[in-house]
Amino acid sequence: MLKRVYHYIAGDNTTYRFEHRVFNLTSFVITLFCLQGTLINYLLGLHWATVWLAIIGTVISATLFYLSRVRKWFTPATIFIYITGTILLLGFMHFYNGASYGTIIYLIIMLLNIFLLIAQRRHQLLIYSLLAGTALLLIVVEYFFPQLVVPYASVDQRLTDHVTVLVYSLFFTMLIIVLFRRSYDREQKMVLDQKRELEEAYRLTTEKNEYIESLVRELHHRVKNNLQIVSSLLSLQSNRLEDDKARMALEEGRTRVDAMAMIHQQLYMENDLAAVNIEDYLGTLTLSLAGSFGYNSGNIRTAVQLKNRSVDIDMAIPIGLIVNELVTNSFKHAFHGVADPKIIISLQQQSDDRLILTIADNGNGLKSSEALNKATSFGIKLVNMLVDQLNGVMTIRENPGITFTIEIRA
Amino acid sequence: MKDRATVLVVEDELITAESIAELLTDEEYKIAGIAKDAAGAFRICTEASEIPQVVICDINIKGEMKGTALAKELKETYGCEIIFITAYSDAKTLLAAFEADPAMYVMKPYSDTQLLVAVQLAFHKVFKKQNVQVSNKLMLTEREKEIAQLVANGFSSKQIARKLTISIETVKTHRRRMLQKNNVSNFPQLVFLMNQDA
Repeated sequence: MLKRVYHYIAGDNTTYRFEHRVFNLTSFVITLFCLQGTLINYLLGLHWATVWLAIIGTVISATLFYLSRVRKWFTPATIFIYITGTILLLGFMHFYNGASYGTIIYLIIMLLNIFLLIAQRRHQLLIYSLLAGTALLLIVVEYFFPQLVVPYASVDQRLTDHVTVLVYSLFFTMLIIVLFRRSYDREQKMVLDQKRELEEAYRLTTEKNEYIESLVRELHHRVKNNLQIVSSLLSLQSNRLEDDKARMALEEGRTRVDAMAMIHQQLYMENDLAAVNIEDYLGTLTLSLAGSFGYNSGNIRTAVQLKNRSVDIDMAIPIGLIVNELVTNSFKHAFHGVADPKIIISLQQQSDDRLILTIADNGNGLKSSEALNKATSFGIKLVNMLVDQLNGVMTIRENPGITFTIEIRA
Repeated sequence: MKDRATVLVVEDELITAESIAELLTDEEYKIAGIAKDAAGAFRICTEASEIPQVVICDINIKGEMKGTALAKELKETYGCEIIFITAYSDAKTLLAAFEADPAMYVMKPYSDTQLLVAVQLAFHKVFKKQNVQVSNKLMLTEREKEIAQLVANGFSSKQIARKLTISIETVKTHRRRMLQKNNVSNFPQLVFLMNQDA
């Protein structure tokens, strides 16, 4: 019931901010107070000025209440108009109401408290100066012009006035403070609740992330394991073959699978799940190839000069397979009777969207390129396919070893 | 040949296990057995005439007991050296694995060379613990030294044959003769002694 009355006077909390509601309530209560003053002053037969001042107060307060509550006009200007009205009316009223014997100072203090509560922070000092200054000024004027004061008719009248205004102003101050405190508590609770909700949401997201990460890890683990099995299968089968050509073919197949498997090994180490450090990869790949033909790191060198060494897996796999084919070919065919066999693989950035991949050996040149065309016709077909996949162009030179240059448009 | 270097393979992907066993057999290691879980590994160790000196162990095996716990147990009970072989390379798995103090951690997919080097290293630790000594200096010809060095670097007989353009049989004969001549029981031990000599 009380709540409904409060909401009716002050407005609901969705449309009106707390300060706005307090202003509505205050202007409403002051209007009532002025109205009551008008009647009582008139009935008691007090000075005509007190009646008129109370009427003007009622009108100003009611107007501002209407503007604020109905028209929703609540700005610093609203508060300052109200303060100005208060200062003028109460200032005159002070002298007709027993001056320092009277109660006007109580009202000024009450209004000061309320306005300090609802005004913007940057206006607080100004409001304090205005109202506190007015109170002090009234005392000073009274001191110099005592003849202005209209005293109370009797002690009874004075005490009645004091009791009424004290009860009124203290009660209203308390009410506003209680309301303010409640609104503050509610906001605190809301903030705490939101914080808890956010923490919960954060926890859930983290959990989900960890879960996804573990799934990805599991997936990569499966890929690596399966590639290992494929490689093992080819190895087991090739060990049992009598026919040299067939065995060779299976072993070639195995090195191709291994070249792809190595990318997956590097992928997870890098923690970036779709790109691989191409420098590390080519290093590992070529060293492993050298090893499988009985050569070592002295026979093969890789040089990578790129703006970004992280290369997407879609590009890294074809590059890996091309290097695998061409290096295998060199090791197999190029180095008969070569004293110091060397293969150099380089990957350079030519322009923003152009890479140059070079595989060069110091072997027997022509013979090895013929071998590439005849003996392992699948090898050259595969390289051409992969160059095509990379939107690349391949050129072959002999000087006297063989050099493959592949221009890749990234 | 007495006292062959013995290896146990614990791996639940039997195709991978078999290819490891075949690679090592080809390199004259003795395979104590292939186990696909912890129970199988213990059974092989209790029944075997020679306790395996080195265990190649997958981390993510089937059954209650995982590879890391099994490895720790085998190391404590039988003094085996451990080589982990796994497709996992995340920090959590690595940390758990290193508690078992493995001789080596090999990432799948591995190359033959990587595996052979790991096995060489594990045996090196075994012999170091046993404080194996040889009375007289190793007798090796230049060619034999070259072959022994390649074996030490993880090259298989097949790869050595290809590099030196000789047949696999020739490589194997060389290897056997080196052992007989110096009265050393297995090749990892010869590599160990060769490194000590140097």
